[in-house]
Amino acid sequence: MAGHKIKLQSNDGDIFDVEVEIAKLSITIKTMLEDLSMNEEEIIPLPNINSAIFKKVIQWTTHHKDDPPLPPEDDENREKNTNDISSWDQEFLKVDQGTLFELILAANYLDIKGLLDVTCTSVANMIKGKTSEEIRQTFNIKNDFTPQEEEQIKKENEWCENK
Amino acid sequence: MPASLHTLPVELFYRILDHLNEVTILISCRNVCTRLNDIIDIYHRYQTLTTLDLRYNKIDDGRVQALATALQQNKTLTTLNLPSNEIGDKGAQHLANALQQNRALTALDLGWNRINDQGAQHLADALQDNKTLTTFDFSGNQIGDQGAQHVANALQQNKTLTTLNLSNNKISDQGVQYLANALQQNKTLTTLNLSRNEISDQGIQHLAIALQQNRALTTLDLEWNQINDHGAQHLANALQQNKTLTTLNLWHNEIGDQGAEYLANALQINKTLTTLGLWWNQIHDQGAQHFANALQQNKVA
Repeated sequence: MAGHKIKLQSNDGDIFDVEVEIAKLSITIKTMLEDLSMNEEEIIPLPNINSAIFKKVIQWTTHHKDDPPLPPEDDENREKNTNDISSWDQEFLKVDQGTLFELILAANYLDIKGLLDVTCTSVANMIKGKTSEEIRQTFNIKNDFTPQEEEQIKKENEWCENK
Repeated sequence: MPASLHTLPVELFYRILDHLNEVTILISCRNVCTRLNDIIDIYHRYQTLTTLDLRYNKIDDGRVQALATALQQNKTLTTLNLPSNEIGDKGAQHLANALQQNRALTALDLGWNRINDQGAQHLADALQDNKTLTTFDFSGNQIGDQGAQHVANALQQNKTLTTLNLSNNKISDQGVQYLANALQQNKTLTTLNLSRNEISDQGIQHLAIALQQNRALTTLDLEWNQINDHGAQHLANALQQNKTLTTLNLWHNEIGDQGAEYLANALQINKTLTTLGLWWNQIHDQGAQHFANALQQNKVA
């Protein structure tokens, strides 16, 4: 089967020839091929993913195609103890924030657990050690607390700063 | 709209939170925006977070500020352990403000930080109104008589605190007098630890008067102070009246045979005390004999 390819189409119309074994790292595509007995000559549409992001996904899955499978996940062991990211992944994830979050959405849609893990870890590492104000700045989030709520938090901060 | 943290579906945001520890969730993720707060409110690890142990975490006033802000509206955390950090008076002030809002926390450990009288004042003011905290550990800070006065004022109002640890501070006789006066009013505190302070017989005299009135305290720890025979006499007088104290720890004071005799005689009358700690005093055979005689009478100890 090695080298056998299928055609996948991004939502902006580009068609990608991808090795079946690599494409099947996506549980979503694997299921389509197996359960729906899709003809491998058919073009499989991926309506939620654009070409730029899909290229990154293929790049990641190609590099990780021989990784051992991740242990199954249940609610008990969801909390991750390790937040280490391999140097290859770190280099791979040197992208703008928009791309990073697109990759999370794509990994989720395609059901690629390893990619979802590493992208979420990357965001988690961006959160660590920051104050809530720094989080707003880092992720460009608007402070939308009501004036009363905001006043409460501000009062607390000023009260302490003035002493 | 481009993908962003703010627009991420809830389930994916939870996946990010899965990679963060509890303190980061509280300090960094709370109070960023309303949507994130709503999401965290129903995150299972936040909902089940009842104990946070952050000892030896180099938490300073800045980080404690973020933690305090997160605690204001928190409804799950019941135990917060912050001993051996770098919290000073400003940090104490942040926590005091949180305690005025918070309705969940029952145990707060601020032992071995850098809190002085001013910080003690803020926390004590918060304790006046707080109705949930039952255990408060303030040991190993730099609370002097002024700080003790504020804590005493709080104890006069407070109706929930059962355990107060003020050991290893700088409270002397004057401070103990304030606390003693409060104990005459207070009806809830059952355990008071004043070990390793600077208390001598004069302070003990006030405490002894309070013990005659007080009906709540069951454990009083006075080890490593400067109590001698006079102090022992005052305590002995109190023990003749007191009907609630079960444990009195006087280890490592300066009580001699005479003091031992007073205490021994009191034990012949007292029916509640089960533990009297007298190791590391200056009691010799003669004093010990008094106890031997007393214990023949006493049916409890």
